[in-house]
Amino acid sequence: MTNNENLSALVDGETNDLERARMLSAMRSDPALAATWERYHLIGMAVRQELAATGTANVADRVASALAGEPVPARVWGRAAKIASGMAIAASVAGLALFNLGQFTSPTPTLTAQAGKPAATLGTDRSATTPPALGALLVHHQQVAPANGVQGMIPYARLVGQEGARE
Amino acid sequence: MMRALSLALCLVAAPALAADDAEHWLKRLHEAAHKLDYDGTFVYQRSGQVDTLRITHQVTARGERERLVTLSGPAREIVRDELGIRCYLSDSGQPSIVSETEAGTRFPSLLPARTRELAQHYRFQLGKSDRVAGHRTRIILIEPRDAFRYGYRLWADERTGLLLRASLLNESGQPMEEVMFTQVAIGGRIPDSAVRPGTPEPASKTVVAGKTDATGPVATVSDPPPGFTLLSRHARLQADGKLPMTQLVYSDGLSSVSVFVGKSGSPQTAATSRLGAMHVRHAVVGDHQVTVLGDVPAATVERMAASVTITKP
Repeated sequence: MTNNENLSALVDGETNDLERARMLSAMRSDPALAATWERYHLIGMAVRQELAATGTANVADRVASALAGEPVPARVWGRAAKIASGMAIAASVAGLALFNLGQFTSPTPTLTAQAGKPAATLGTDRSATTPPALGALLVHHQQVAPANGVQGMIPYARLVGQEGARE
Repeated sequence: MMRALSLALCLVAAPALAADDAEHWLKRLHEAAHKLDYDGTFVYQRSGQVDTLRITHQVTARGERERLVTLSGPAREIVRDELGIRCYLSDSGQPSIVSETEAGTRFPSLLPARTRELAQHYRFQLGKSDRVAGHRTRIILIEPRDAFRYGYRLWADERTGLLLRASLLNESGQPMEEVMFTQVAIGGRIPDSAVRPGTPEPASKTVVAGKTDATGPVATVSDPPPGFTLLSRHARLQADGKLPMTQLVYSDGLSSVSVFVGKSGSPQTAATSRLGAMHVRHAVVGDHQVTVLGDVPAATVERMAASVTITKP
């Protein structure tokens, strides 16, 4: 088996204790190998997440090409590696982080910076930091729009759940 | 496949709720949310992203108090009480937002008279029983009759009527945003300390005045989508704290849209953006900036923004 095949097996949990120990020790001395391991993990997570959501499998290619073209900040890897050991539900976060790498590495975009793009291509609200002006409008809206209880906590959750500062 | 089939069968078998039943459930949901004390943890999911939050709701003779705290991600909190809404976002690099309540206003509620009109724009169905956070719930499905509003799937506690889970559904019925209690205590005494802000007063904050004497432009939306009617009008100040603006609130009884109109201090462009299920449309009408936002599809905010008429600048 090549190192990459071994890595793949490690990611899929298909190694025995001896092989696992050998690969982990090899990764400590070989940063490139460690980086590949992280990449495999991320791809795996993104694919699992997307498969569940859309039933298509071409996500791995998109992830791979995104990775090929993007300088990946250490903190993203650090977090991703941490998530890799976490719950399956957290995988979606890593998957999204991956698709939004461009935004994480550039200055935080604002809604106005995204002007002109149709809403459908904006992706997730993860990248859409709310400028204070819009935040105030949201609060105005929340305060006087009929609170009929149908949406429950969603509007408020949205106010505090805004992304952009998570990095 | 079996699941899809059984779901379809269930939908066919479920009797369409009569307007009276719909009214009954909506009223119950609404009253429970505003009249019950509760304290619980819920997950908030959107765009494949999940966060955990804690909500504490207290009702006393003074009125309602509510505190929402994030348990995952950045530490943030919202406290809503008789003084207004305070959003502590200080860790985010954004100033916190303090919004004062307009004197004399109560939290607006769905007007009972409008519930009947709802049936023109939404279909109501009573779904199966389900369990949420250990409580027996009843599922209520609200389907829009056109593309100008979203649908909802609601899980109401059978015993108290409290909303324990809610999904906001897109045009194809897929959830866009969802909240669900994982644990909740309903009733019981909530101490005052549980609904006080835990965040120290922030150094930098944006104060959103609830009311201003300045009069903004007089404007109206001449061609809103079917069912959306003007509910209220408010004089506001723009973010710079100087220029006045007007807020118009339109609602179809379930979905609400705010239209903000003000003279623009800086050049603006037209754009539509999205925050979770909320669409925001920026538009320019003469030398005025128009911002339309609400939990509605892009088509709705765009149509409303396109027909804003300013009668007095």
